[in-house]
Formats: sequence, C-alpha cells, structure tokens
Amino acid sequence: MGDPSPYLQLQHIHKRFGKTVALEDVSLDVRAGEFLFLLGPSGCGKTTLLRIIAGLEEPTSGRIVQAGRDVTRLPASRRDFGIVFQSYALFPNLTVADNIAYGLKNQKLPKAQIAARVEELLRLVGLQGLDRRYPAQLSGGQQQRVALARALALSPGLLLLDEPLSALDARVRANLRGEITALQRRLGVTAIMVSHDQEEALTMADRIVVMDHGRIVQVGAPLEIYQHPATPFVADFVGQMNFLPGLVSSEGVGVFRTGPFALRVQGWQNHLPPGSEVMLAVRPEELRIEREHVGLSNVLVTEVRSVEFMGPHYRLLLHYRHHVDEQRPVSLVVHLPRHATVQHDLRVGATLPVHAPADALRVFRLPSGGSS
Amino acid sequence: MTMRTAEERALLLPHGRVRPVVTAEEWLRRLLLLLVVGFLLVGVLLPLVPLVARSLSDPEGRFVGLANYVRYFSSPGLASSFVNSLTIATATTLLAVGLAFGYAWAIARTCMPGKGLFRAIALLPLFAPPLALAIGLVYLFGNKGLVTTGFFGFFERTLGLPLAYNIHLYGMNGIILGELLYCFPQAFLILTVAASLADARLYEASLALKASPLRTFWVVTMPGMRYGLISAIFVCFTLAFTDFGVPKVVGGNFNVLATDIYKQVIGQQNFVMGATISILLLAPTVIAFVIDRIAQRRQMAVLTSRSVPLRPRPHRLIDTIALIYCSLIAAAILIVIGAVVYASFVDVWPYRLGLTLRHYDFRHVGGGGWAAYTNSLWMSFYSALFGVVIIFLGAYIIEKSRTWPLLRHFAYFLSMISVALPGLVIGIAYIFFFNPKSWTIAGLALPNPFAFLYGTMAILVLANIVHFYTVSFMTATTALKQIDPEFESVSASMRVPFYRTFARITLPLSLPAVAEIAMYLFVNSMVTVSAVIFLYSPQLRLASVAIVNMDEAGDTAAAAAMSVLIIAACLIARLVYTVVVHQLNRRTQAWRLP
Repeated sequence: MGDPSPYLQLQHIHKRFGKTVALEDVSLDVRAGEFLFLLGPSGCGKTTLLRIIAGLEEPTSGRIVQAGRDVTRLPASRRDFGIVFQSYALFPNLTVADNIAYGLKNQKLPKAQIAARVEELLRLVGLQGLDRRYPAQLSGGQQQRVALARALALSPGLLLLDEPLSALDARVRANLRGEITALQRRLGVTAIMVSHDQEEALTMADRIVVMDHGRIVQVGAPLEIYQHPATPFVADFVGQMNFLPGLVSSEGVGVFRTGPFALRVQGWQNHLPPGSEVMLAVRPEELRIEREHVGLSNVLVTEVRSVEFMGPHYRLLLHYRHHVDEQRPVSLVVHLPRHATVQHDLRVGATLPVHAPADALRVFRLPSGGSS
Repeated sequence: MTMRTAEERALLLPHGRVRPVVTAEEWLRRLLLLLVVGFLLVGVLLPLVPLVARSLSDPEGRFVGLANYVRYFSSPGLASSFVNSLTIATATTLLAVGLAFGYAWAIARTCMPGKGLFRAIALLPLFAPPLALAIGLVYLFGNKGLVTTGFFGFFERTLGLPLAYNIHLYGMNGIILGELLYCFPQAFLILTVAASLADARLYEASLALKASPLRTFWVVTMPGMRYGLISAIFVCFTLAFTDFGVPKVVGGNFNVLATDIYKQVIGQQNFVMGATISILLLAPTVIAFVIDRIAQRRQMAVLTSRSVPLRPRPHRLIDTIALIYCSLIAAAILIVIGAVVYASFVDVWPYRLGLTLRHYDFRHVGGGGWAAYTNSLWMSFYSALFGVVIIFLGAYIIEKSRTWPLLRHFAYFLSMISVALPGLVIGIAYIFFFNPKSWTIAGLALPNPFAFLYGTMAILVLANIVHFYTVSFMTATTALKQIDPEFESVSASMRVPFYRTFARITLPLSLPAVAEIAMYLFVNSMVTVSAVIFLYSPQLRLASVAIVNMDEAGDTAAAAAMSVLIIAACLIARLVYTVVVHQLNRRTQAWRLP
C-alpha cells in the first residue's frame, strides 16, 4: 500500500456526532514533506478530520500514527503540530512578537534565544519591523502571516492549515498562496490544508484528497484529479464539467449516442450492453466550435441560448435536444477565447456545431437505480 | 488487499469513543468543574429539597401530601394574597414595560437632546433598595405626604386653592407605583439593548418599498424587539410578583405572597406555611422562566456582522414628543428619590421643615445603625469579590473547556435556574437547609456539614451570590463567547497549559465584564432585603433590614437616612466601576479593533 514510511497514517477513522456521521472509514497516508489538501464542500468532514489529526477532536474509532508514534489517544498538547485558523486566532492583547513567542516562552528558553527565533520567523514571513504592533493594527494578510509564524515557532513536524485564506481579499489570497507553498517547500514541513476552493487546491497541493459526505472520494495529484476524476462528484467539484446523457451504442466499442449524435470515446474499456444509460462528461474548455463540421465525427449541433463575457473568454450556453426527454433540452457550456468569437455567429438562437474530442470525453456509469 | 489483523478489524467496528489520555491539566479542569458544580448544588439545588419536603409535611414532619396547599387555598385570607400578587405583577408589568418601551425607543431612535442624562436617571432606581422607593412614595403620597397635604397646605394658604390630592397610597395603588419604579429601569435596560440592535438596511428597504411609518413599525421594529419585550415582561413580572420591600412599606392591609411569607415565618414562626407559600411564589416565576428560555432559544441573530447600524434622523415633532415624554418620567423618578433624600434631612416632617443631620445618628432607633451599614458594605464587598471569582471561573470552565460534557451542561442548567428563585425563597430554603445540626433522611440522622455557616457572614454572602448568579453568569458567558474559541486550540498546539492562557489572554480580555459583574453584585447585595431578611443574625444586622425595622417602628426619617446611605454607597461603587473601565479601555486601546 503506497509509501514505505508515511509520516502520518490515518487508519479507519470514524467520527459521529450523536446520530450524524461526520467521517466514515477514512484511511490515508501522508508522506513526509508533502503538501496535502483536504478538499470538499462544506459539511464534507474535512475540518473534522483536520481537528482529529490535531487532537482537538476525538475520533469515534480508528487509529492515528504520526512519525511512528501512535497518537490516537493523546490530547492536542501532547502532539507535534502547528496550526493556522481561518480566524487567525491571534491574541489581540499581545504584540506580534509576543504572539509568536507565546509557545517559546512556555519552554523556559533564554530570552535572547527567544528574541532571535522571533526575529528569524518574522523575516521568514516577511514582517520584519512589525514586532511591536498589535494584531488589530495589521492588515488581514499580515495577520495571517503572524499566525503562520506563530504556528512554525516550535518547529513542528506537521503544519495544519484550516482554510487560512478564506477570510482574505482575492488579491491578497493569490499572493499568500505562493508564499505559503514556497515556505512549506523551503522548510520541508509536512503540511495539511483544508479548503473548499478547488483553484487553491490545484495551484498549491502536491496531492489532493477530495472528500464528500464524510468519505474520501479520490486521492491524487492535482493534474490527475482534474484529468481523471473518479466520480461525477469530483468532476463537478474540481473544475467545471458538462454532463451529457448518453446511451451505449451498438455501432462499435467506445461509441455512445446522445440525442441524434454519435460520440466516440477514446480508451473506453468497460463493455456495457448496448442501450445502457451512461453519463458523458467534458470540460467547457475542451469543446471546440467548428465552422465546417461536415465529415467530422464527434460533433453536436447546438443552438445558442446565451453568451456571457468573462474577460479572457466568452462563456456560451448551448442547447440540444435529447431523445429521452424532449421537453428539457441538454445544456452545454463552452468557453470560447475572446479572439475566436469574430469567426462565429453567436446570436441567440443561431445554430452552432460543437466538436467534442474523443480524448476529452469521459464516461461515468449511472448508479444503479436510474438517472437523476 | 492484505488480510486485516484482529486489531485492525476491531478498529473497523465503531465501538464507543476513543478515550483520550487524561493529563494532569485535564484533572485540574475536572477539579475546577467539580468545585463549581459542588457550589451550585449546595447553593441552589439542595436547599430546595427541604423546602419542598416541608411544604408536604405537617409541623411534626409527617408527610401530608398536598394538605398544606389545600389549607392555604381554603383560607380566604391567605388565598386572596395569591390573586393580589398576580394582579400587582400583571399591572406593574404592563405599565413598566409599556413606559420603558417608549423611553428606550426615544433614546435609541430619536434625536432628542440629553439622552445620556435621561439614561442615567432611568437607571437611578437600580441603586436604591425598593424599600427606599416606597419610602419616597410615603413622603409624597402618604397621609402626611407632600401631595396629599397640598404642599403642607401651602397652596391653600397662599392661593386659596385646595390643591391637595390623596391617591390612597396604602394598598394596591402604592404597591403598583412602587413596583413600577423598581421594575422600570430593569425593563428599560433590556429594551434599550433591543432597540439599539437595528439594521438600517431593513428600514431603507421598507422606505424604498413605500411602506407607511406605522407598517414599518409593525413589520421591522417590532419583530426586532420581540425577544427583548418577552425578556422584559419576564423580568418585570418576576420582580413584581416576588418583591417584598415595597408591599412591606406601602402595602397597608393589602396582603401579597411575599409579605405573607414574612408574617408566617417571622411573626408566627409557622415554617410549614412559609414553605408552602414559598412554593406558590416560585411557581409563576418558574413558568415565566421556562417561557423566556424557549423564546430566547428561538431568537435568531437580529444583527449580523453585515448589518448597518441605524442612525436616527432628526424629526422636529417626534423629537419634541419624545423629549416631553422622557422628561415626565425622569422627573417622576427624580422626585421620588429626591423626596427620600430631602426627608432624611428634614427635622420633623411635616411640622418643622428645618434641615438637620440628626436622622443619621442612629443611636436612638432600632435596626443596628452604622454598624448595620458597615456590615452591609463588607457583605457586599465579599459578595462581589467571591462572587466574581466563582461566577467567572464557572462560566469559563463551562464555556471554554471540553471536560465532562454532561456535567458541564448540568452546571450550565444550575447557573441559569437561580434567576427563577426569588430572594425570599432562597432565604427560607437556606433556613431549612443550613440551620439544623443534622438532617433526617428516611429516618436516618445525618450530621449537617454546612451547619457552621448558619448565622455567619458567609451564609449572607452565599445567599447573595446565588441570588444574583444568573445575570452575572450571563455577562461572563457573553464576554467569553466573544473570545475566539480557537485560542484554546492554538495554546494546546503550542503546549501552553490552559491556566496560562486563562491568565495571559482570557482574563485580560474579559476584565471589563469582570468589573461589571463585581459592580452588579456589590450594588444588588447592598439594596437587597428579601434573601437576607431571614438569614441575618442579631450580631450581624444589615442596612437594608434596618430600613424595614425602622419603618416598622415608625422611624421613617431614619429609614430615609439609611436609604440615602445605601444609595450613596451604590453610586460610589458605580463611579469606581466607571473609572476602572475607563482606565482599562485607555490602557488597552492599542489592541482594540479600530
């Protein structure tokens, strides 16, 4: 099972609050020095899992091994981690320096040593000279840097980040993303970050753990998750995805029908009997608008419903009729680069042929019990 | 997949919780929680047991079921008191909440001048014992009162006008007037918070939708104040229903439950009937308490972080009406308290109106004089000191620890119910619980380990802390809730013990609340009479009880003087509090959010 010596092992973690199940049989190995993301919608259990790793919450059952030591029953104060919260949780009545030194002072280190360490940490997060300020006198981004420095003060083996960027402005958030990753790489500290922001996870993580309803749905590198989502949920949550209703066709292996159109999917292995219902998935940026579509395969002829200007690209909402349900046409989103718009007739109601490349299409089997 | 070991299989099945290692720190938290629960058990819950038991027994201690209650309701003299108390409480609640609503609204929502002054005057009765308010009424509306005699016949003599007016103070009129003065500031305090919690965006939306001012009032203003109103009604009803001081002084022959208990216990030494009436006194307040709790639970956050505070806009007509309205009420409060102060200096009311200090020389009147006053000061000081320590630590361990959840909920429950216990009930329950040298439980005599407290300063302090526990507890809890719960997590991650974080972070951040609790406990211990009147000993007389004794003996001027001394002590305490908080705020301005 994976790595020879994972830094942190979670084995069959269950967590219940009364009758509600927050985590169900979560097992995970975290490698030493990696930046791991727990990604999922709110209520998926990712924060609960982080708190269990920290010892701030007890699992109902399961085992946690950190650096070869079983820490399952240890309270937070006996574990080895630093933590950063979304609220920063900086002590408002202590200066920046005192906040960072809070844990160091408790270790009865000599004063000069503490001062030197605080100075070092301030330099690390780029806040030199602000040591005498109080948290209320700093910007949100600066406050989160202080929280980061404080979490790193005792040189913990594990850095836990609970949505640390959610409370910040978009621009500050983007800056801090890069800084946190750089810092983590430089220090080589194993880090686990909780997030509901897929873009954040894709740009920062070494590996992403996608969670839903208290379970791990998929674990993998960002590109792997984006290109090969294991389930429709992952496909939809990480990036954007069009879902098209499809039927297994008898025209050959890997050919599906959606409405009047035939779509060939590259690399399709699973042999379902013809007529089985499936879900076809394709990302908006993978679809191409074709002017000359005659003779091309994998083309859907659609009708333009709306066009939205998004800055770098246009977002087209298209429709086509599917035989199963004539009342409700299938919607399709296509991202079209701005410069490409001049070549096409994008008036509402215009007919637009869309090419779905065979290597961009994914097939999901419908869960037994019918389609939604 | 490899075969699972037996151990792993066992882990797969969710069986019970993972039990964390119990550290020394955790034991310390548990000890603290146990101490708080122990205090609340001895102070709140256990004393109620003998009280209930007595009400179900005959004087010899034999169980008689509900016979005492049947006897109570079948004796017309006693049963009418129950109806009287309900009538008084209902009338007072309607008047006090109605008047305070207008007053609070005027201060929060209009641009009339002098708001700070009006606020201060409205709160003035909080610093006086209800007895003092009643004495003020006696000097105004009593048989020789200023109004009753037409300013001692001044109008008659000079203008030839018979401007004397007798409102027949003694009885229902007097009690309702007195309770109104007593309850008004309490209702005002609650409603003023509710009235200032307004979201300007809702009013702008209402204006944009062209709703009439009346419709805006019903659709926007009232829902926002609804829970404040329920709370105010609950508080006023409970206070007026259980108050002892006002009916004692101006009740005349109009009996209410509180004075009945006093007569039964002090006058006739009939403890069984005293216990029975105490339970009757408790019933409506418990019901009111339950209703209030349910209502508060349903309250949603009226004000979110995105709310825009409402800034009142000037409106000449409304501002003028508000000013007149508030001036009338403020004048009424000032006149009553002024009458007490004035009467305490008048030589012989109403015959020799020269000013003198002789009423402050308590040597020739009963009640304990200056010794009683210093006893009261010490008692209030101890109540504030020990009360703030116990209550704040209790709130801290309940709010900020994860120790023994069930016991913490129980401690929270005990902390909240003390508000439903009227002072008289606490006093009488304490007699039954602390006085006997041994308790007889199911035929077994157990030595009473708390008997040594009886008749000491300690039991008075305990009674006061318990009597004023809930409000102080809520102040502490509110302050603690505003402190980021993750502070405890961050401290644990840095292996800093919880008591260090308490001392360096939590306590410093809560100092304004700590000061407020201490002030509240001091002032209320000074003015209260109901809980302590059963518990003081002849060696340990108290100022508020002295007022009762002096008034009973006809030494009304001395009672007025003692009232003035109590008011003075309370105002000084309030002043000290204001200065302390001001200093705190100045010292901590740097780390307050801009």
